[in-house]
Amino acid sequence: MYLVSKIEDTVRIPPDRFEEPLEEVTIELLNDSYVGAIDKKLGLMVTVKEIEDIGIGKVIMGDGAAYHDVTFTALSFKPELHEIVEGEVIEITEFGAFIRIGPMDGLVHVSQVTDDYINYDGKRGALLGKESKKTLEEGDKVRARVVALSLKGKSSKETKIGLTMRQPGLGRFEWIEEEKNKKAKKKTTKEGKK
Amino acid sequence: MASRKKLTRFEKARVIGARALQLSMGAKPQVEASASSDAIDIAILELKENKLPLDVNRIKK
Amino acid sequence: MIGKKVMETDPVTVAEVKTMLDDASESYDLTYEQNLALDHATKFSKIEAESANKLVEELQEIVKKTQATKIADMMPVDMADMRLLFAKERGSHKKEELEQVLEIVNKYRE
Repeated sequence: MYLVSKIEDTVRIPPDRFEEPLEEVTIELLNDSYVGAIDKKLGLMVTVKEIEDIGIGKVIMGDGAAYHDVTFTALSFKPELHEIVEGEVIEITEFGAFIRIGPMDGLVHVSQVTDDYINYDGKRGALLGKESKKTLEEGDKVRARVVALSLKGKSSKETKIGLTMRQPGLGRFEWIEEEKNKKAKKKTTKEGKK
Repeated sequence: MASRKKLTRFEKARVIGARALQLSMGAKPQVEASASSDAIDIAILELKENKLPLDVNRIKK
Repeated sequence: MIGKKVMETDPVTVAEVKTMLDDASESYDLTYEQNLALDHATKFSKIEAESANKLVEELQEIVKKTQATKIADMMPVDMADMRLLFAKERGSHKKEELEQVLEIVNKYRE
């Protein structure tokens, strides 16, 4: 899920930008250096929200730039192990479906889509359940659970998020709905027999 | 902004050096300067006219 | 490593993320990843940021802030959804508590 964090840092303002409003330049510089970066604790940095406090500039030896101590808040996205996520299928391959769960994508392996045997239809770009006739295509909205997580690397392309939909209450939105309707019906018929 | 304190010659050298570096890196001069003057000349002029946007922070010991 | 020191972190709801990125998109062009996040947030936020905020606040009396945020994102409709969300959470929650949460969530459903 998304996090808002308060972060302390030092920002270097180069001399050619002294004339511009300090806060705007600071936000821009922080965005340039951090957006898209991955941090172990915070996950993927999405954007700098606002500057809370900015100190007086200091000039150090050998550099004409001003160094300001700054406190700012930033928005980041951090997937958590065992977290329930909702997302959209963006690509189907023969080994599984890629789900966009925010600024990052996760993969549901074919073996983790349903309990059913799954066939891959390359022409349609869809995954088909053999018994249940369930289908999964690009654009479908799903609910899944994070089961594997690797936040190594420097960009979001190197992160790997493994998802599963093979648990009750998970899967394509329509499947979940169906499952619930079935249960509700069972209940009413049972009660009717009494 | 302008430094009102009386600077020692060491501080002057440090301040002019730092300011000249900033000017050479693209900072806008605070004084009218002729096209022929170099960064150090402008920094010295700024100091003379008390328009240096730098301050000396003396650490007391 | 981002920054020198992270002083505090707070979970936020998808609805709030949407408003944040909407505002940001007005002042500058979003990056590729920011666009992905905004797109996803637009598709999956179920309530307005303001009510999401209030909902999280109200839920915090029963559950932790992280859980409250997740609940505001998912807007569970029944006990099955609730149990799904709490299945891997540490600490057991009584049935009455979950029902109470569900009741609060229902107040905010749009």
